[in-house]
Amino acid sequence: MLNKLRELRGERDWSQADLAEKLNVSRQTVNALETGRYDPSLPLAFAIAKLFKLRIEEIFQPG
Amino acid sequence: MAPVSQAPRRYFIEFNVAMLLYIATVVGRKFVLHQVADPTLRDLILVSPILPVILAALAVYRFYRRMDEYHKLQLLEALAFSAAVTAVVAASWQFLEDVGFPHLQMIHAMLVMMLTWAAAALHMGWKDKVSEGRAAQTLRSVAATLIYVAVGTFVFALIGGWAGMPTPWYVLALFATALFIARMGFFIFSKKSSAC
Repeated sequence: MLNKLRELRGERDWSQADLAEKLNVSRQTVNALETGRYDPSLPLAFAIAKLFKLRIEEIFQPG
Repeated sequence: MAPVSQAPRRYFIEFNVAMLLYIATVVGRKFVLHQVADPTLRDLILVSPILPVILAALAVYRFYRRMDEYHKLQLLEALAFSAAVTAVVAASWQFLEDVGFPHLQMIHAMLVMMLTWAAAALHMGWKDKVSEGRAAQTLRSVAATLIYVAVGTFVFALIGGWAGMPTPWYVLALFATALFIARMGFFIFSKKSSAC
C-alpha cells in the first residue's frame, strides 16, 4: 500500500512522536507505516482517517 | 485504553519483579528446605520457582496485550521463528546424541527458544532503527551499554579482590545482569514516548 501519511503529518508540522501519541501507537509504528513496511489494520486506518478528517482511500492507495 | 507508551515501563516492572521472585525462590529454597520435615511442604518448596516462571510468562502476555498492532506482529513473528528453530533443534538433537553429542534436558530447549526469540526481536528492532536513520545512534548506545556493564563488573571484581574475597563467576554474571537491567530501566523510564 502507498500512503500520504508523511505528507499529511508534515502539513500539520507534527513529529512522528506527535502522530504516534495521537493514534496511541509507537513512533516505530508510524515510521513503519510511512515507509510502507507495514500496512495498518482497518481500525488503525479508520483512526488515521478520522484524525486527518479524510476518507481512508484519500490516504491509502493500492501499491 | 492505556497509552502504548506505558507498556514497556509496566512490562519492565512486572517482569523484573517476577525474576526477583524467581531468584528468591531458587536461592531461598536451599536455605529453608532442611528445616522442613513435612514431605508435602518440602515438595511445595521445591517446586516454588514455578510460580515466578508463570508470573514472568503472564508479564510477557500482558506486555503483548498492551502493545500496538505493529509490535504485536513483530513479537509473534519473532516467536514463530524461535518456535521453528527450537522444533528443528529438538527434533534433530536425539539423532545427534546417537553420534556422541551430549544429552540435553528440557531447559536447554527453553534456552534455545529464548535466545532465538531475542535474536529475531533484535534483528527486527535493528531493521526499524536502520529505516529510521538511527543505526549509528543505536550502535553508540549499545557500545556505551557494553562499556558500562563491562567496566562496572570489572570494578566490582577489583573491589572484591582488594577486599581479599575473590568474586565467583556466577556472582559477576549476576552483577553484570543487574547493571544491564538498571541501564535498560534508565532508558525505558527516562523516555517520554514509547520505547517498545
